[in-house]
Amino acid sequence: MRKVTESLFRFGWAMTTFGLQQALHLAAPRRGWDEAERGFDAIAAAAAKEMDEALRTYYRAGDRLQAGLVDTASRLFSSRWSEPGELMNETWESLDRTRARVQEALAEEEAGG
Amino acid sequence: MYELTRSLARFAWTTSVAGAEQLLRPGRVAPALEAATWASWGELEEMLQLAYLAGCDLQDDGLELAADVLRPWHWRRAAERLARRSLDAARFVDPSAGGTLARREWRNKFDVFWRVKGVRRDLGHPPPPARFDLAEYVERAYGLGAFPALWAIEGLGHDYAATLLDELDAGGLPAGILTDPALAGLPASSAPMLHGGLGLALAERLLRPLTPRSSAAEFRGALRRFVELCRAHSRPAHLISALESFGLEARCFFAQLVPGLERELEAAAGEAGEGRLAAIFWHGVGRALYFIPVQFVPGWGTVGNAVAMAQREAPHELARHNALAGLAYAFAMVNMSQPRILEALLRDRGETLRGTAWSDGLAAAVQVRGRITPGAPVLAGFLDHRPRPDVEALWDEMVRRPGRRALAGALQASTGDLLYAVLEPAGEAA
Repeated sequence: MRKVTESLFRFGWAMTTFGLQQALHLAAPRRGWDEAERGFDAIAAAAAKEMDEALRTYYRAGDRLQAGLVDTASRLFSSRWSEPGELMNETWESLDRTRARVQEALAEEEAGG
Repeated sequence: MYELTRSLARFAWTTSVAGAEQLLRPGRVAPALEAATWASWGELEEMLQLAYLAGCDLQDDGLELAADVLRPWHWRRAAERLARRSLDAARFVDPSAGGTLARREWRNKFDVFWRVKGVRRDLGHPPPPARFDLAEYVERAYGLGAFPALWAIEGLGHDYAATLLDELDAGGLPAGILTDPALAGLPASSAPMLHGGLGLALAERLLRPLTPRSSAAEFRGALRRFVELCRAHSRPAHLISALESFGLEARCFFAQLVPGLERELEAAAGEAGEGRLAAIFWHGVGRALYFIPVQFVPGWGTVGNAVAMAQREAPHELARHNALAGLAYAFAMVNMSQPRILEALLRDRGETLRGTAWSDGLAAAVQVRGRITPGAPVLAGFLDHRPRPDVEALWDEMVRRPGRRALAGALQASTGDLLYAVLEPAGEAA
């Protein structure tokens, strides 16, 4: 129990110091943002590598879902739409692609299991 | 912006899943959470890394105290600990002579730490990948004064070795880093500290790829490779100065790796043919305990706390002995010009330290100082210091007599290895 408590405290403190550093990076556009992005990715990759196989599948599925949602939001905000129908179509298509990617992740697990 | 948002979202999701994994495994540390913690530390800038490390040691200490408070049979120990902490903190702000000594000791330690870490600021040598003329910068380091030069040279040895190790990785070196015949003209007194710096650079390089979850083979491989590289790039007389830096670097900046390294020390020593490895490693750990970031927290970072950490962290007698000797060595090297600081420590904890490896460490510091700053008045001032009558007997027993014997040994010694003869558990100085 002692080890777990220590580990949780360390994690909390690591996130605090890391968060502070990322905030400083985000305050400096361009290079700072690249650094921040690299930092987030490095930690995500290191943690994902250590997850056990079952959890990793759900992690991947969640990651793809999230990536799809970010993708959809990005398209919505970054494009100029001539008519509302076009906007709706694009949104549905994007969400459908996301669904397919999540299903792929889950299917990979079934195939592997 | 898009990529950053994705990274941030992935990061948040990863930490959530890692947290969930921990909830699913009560009583066991979740590997993903541990990996995220370790990777976060690796991503931090130097100052934040130091803050993180200090925070970890403070948290561990707090947890230990909390564990004692929860067990009634440990209440006495918890009360003593709290009283000691309060006393240390009060002493640090005490305007009288006792407080002045505590603050001076803190400042000495701080100066030495930054003298090594910030040597480029002081000497202005170019950053990697540019190679620099080591002899020229060693000469500049001596221009800082005999005492600051010691630490600047250790930092210089680190920076020089780090640059050459990049070249080694890129395609090899024509000669060993410190065995290069072109460096034959370096002052002999600079060699121990330069080798200490070389060891720091090698250790840093070999420890960085490890994680607390690395396999036994990876820990053993790093230790064996370290010994091999030290042998390849050190002058034989100063090999131990380089080897000792592994424990120093590991405990100072990679504390979570120390248990994994400890488990493999014996096997690695056998594979590398270096039977003294465990003793040397723990001497380095002890030295680190004087310089770890938490030691710079005013009022908390006292040598008394470092002694407690050495006794708590060392898993067996050999480790305890050498860690305590290493700590005493660092303490004496840093504060030798102000013997009243040691006198205050002996007054406070002399009876606890009596008969331990503490005297070995002090004697080793005297011996090394006799070699690297020969003829410096600081040694005579230290050994001939006249403490207050209540400490006189302890001073004579724990400092003056072992120091004089060690100094006589150093003056007769012809090789650097003899400088560390007092590391032996049953050494003459004990």
